[in-house]
Amino acid sequence: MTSPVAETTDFTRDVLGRYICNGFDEAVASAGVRRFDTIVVGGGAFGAVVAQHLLYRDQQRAHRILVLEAGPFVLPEHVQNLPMLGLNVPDPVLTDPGPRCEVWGLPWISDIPGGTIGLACCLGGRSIYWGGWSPRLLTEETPSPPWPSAALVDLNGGYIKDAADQLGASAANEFVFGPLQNTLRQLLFEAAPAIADLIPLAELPDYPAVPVNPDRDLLLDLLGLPRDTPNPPGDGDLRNLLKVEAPLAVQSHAPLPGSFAMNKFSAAPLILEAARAAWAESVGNDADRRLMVVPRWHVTRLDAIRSNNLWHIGAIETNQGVLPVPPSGRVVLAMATIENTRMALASFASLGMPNYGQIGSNFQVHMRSNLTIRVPKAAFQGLAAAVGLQAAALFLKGRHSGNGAARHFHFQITASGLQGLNTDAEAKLYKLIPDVDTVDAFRAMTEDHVVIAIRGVAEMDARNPSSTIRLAEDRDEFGVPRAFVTVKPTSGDLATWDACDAAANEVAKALACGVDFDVVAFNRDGLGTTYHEGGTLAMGDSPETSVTNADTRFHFVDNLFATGPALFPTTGSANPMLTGVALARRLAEHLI
Amino acid sequence: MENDGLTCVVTVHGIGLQRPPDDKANVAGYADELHTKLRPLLGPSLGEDPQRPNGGPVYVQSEYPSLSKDTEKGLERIGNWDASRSVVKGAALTQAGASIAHVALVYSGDEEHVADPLAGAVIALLGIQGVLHYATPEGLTEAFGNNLRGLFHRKTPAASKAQADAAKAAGAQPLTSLVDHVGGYVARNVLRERVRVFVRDAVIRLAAREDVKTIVLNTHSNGTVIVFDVMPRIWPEQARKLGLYLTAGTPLRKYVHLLSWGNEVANWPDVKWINYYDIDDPVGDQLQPPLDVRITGDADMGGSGLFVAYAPADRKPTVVDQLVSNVDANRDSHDYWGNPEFCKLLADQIRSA
Repeated sequence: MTSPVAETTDFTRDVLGRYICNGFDEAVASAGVRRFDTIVVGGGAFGAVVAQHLLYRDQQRAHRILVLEAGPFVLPEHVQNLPMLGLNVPDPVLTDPGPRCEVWGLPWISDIPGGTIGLACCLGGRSIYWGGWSPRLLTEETPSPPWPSAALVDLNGGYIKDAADQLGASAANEFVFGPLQNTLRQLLFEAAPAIADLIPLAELPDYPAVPVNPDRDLLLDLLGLPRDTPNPPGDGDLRNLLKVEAPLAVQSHAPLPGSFAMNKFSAAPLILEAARAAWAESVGNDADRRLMVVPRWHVTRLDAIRSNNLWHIGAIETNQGVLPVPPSGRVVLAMATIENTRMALASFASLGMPNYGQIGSNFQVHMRSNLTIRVPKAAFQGLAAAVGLQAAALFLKGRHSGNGAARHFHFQITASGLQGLNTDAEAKLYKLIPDVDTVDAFRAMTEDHVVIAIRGVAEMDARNPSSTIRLAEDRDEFGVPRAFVTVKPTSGDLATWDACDAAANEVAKALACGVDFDVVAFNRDGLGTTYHEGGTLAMGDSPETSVTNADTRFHFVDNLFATGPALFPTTGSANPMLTGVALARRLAEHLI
Repeated sequence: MENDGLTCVVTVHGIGLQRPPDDKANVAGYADELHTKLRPLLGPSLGEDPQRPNGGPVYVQSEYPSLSKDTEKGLERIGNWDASRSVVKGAALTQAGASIAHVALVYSGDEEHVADPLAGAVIALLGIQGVLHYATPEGLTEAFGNNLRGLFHRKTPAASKAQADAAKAAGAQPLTSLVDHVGGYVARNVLRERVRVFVRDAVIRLAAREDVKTIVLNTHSNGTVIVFDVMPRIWPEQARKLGLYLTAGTPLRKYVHLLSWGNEVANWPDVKWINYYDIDDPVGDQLQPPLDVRITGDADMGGSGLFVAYAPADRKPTVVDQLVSNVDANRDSHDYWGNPEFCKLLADQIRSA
């Protein structure tokens, strides 16, 4: 029985938990009065976006939404908005050693060398820890087919832009700015044309903040350059210069007069706000509450009933009982790629669904390398006057052609330097450096040196039969088969990875301005460590080659939808959050 | 018995009985003999399948037609969900006037159609792996202790005619049956889920028929385990129609202690459960006394029961054990459905459901 009031622990009073969440008994009791129309399985990044957007866009208040999250409610913010908390991402492991870093678990098994990291089993999920990089997929990374043209039209017609706004990724130079940023940006802009396999900046789409016909002053503002800059570049060069800006999901400025900035994006504040809005609207009456968020409710299977050649989810099996889905109800899978796929594989294993073999195929992750260098500060003209802690975050996109196919990669470049030793650099770094897992590298900086981390992220081939998610013979604690995850790079993948690393070397040389530099570290991350799993519930127009349709609904299940990068037919090299959020917002509007 | 709806007896077989009828070839299905024994006990209340020339139970097969791998066609005998997705409509289960329908599930017919030594070996290895993975020393000790008496008990003629015919038709020996079914069910996730989903779907569809008032689950041997596993997965609205769960010769105790089974019972429906066991049956066990009492044989030591620890919720599986004696000149200790005494008890329970 859920406590009706906030409970008190040895240290805290759980006001946030009680105000945001509901218990199983409360949800079931209220469903007896008014059933839930949309059940979102998973309260991570994409589940939260779907739930929040559906709540707010439902002007008629016709829909009741239930979010089921397997983990607890732990943090209300991205970890980097809570500096020095020390709650980081654990290292990859081969088998699940039990909960790590409070919330991380590994529900699947794999033969990936070095293992994988797993899931953050909590409200907000991995979005509480993510790096924040939000580049958009290029048109050439989203060929149609396999991408359904209807989905691409919608994404490019506004959903990507809206998602960038929601993430805080549409504004340039507001989070990271200053002399170091401007200096390194100019160096990359000048060096990029000569670096093999980098896509010419003119071919790339404009930075999200750039309107169709940008005003010259606006371009200068976005670049953080004074409007009276001497010998300013032409408009085209200014637009291309902006394309080197990092698309980071950080909102540092107040979006509206009198409002607070949300800082680094995570899904937790979204669902918190939506849950409170629903509570306020209901005046405390659970049955009138249009959104309920129930943590620690573990969905084990979806029960599908068949009518002719179409199935319908009639109930959801959970660790706390069976939850009926009303005849007109919809279910949204939002548990991240591998668990979404496992749920579909386990639930539909025996049903004879025509495209069952498609589920779990087309598995893709990203290949990732990290090159960290240390450059004497004296190499950079214009930094002499820089004071305090300096940071930079920049972006480049590449394409490597081989074996008759073009594969993409990009660089996430972060840099930091000190001017003077009397700063609390350590604490600030934790907030300034976008990727939490590269913060350590920056401890190598000194008053006289700038540290630059060049992280290469490269795509893998789609439709690689050697990369799959299947059901293992092992079972989890709820008796459900675990997912077995395997990834085998093709020769083309490895060639792309090599090309990406070679380009990273050239980028490093360009950023070092021709002087000698130290290589602090170089490594290739394990294949399962990027969180960028995708492709296994791919959208498509044909059920013979895809799992879900252009509306992200399972082809053969009339009320089951999916979210997240599992939907991507091809993943490209772009980090999946932006496209995933765009698809989630689109799904929410479709469900209304 | 009120006549405002059918009491539907759902019979679920164990290993070696997975035979559907072939009325054209005059071959009986596995539950025909049981149905014949129930006729005089239940009288005209017991319905006959209107679609079979000589009546008998309604057979619902997990694979129909045989070798088709099509589950839906078999389930369609029960009916299909209507457009509202809340009611199942289908052909009559009995002739007019009857108040008891008898539905026999055939859930595992397709494993034995083709002899495949390699697949058998793989299944055997997986079964052994499953035992090694899940078994506990305590469970192994308990199983040996329990079953020594049964193993050394006097041998009786093999089985009822239906059992012997079915085993012969399947070409199954006890060891291969054990490997195929128990090993497969325990260690092969997809196979286990296929069987469970079929049984769950059948029960839910029957309960969603407007002409069905109460469901009696009549299960035997390994079929008791499957229904036990499915029980928490019955949808709440349909679970309200579960009136009685009868287990005969259940190996559930061995599953719990050898194979770490029974930990998915938190959502147990409100259903009366009676377990029939023969003290000489090496497969079946009584369930209510806790493990230690079973070993010492002292039933007065008390205890809270086998499944209580797995069910933290208020509603727990509560089972009542009832002793029967199956053995005579023509029956072995595991042949419950061939035992007139058991059939009389079964008929009494069906009437009172």
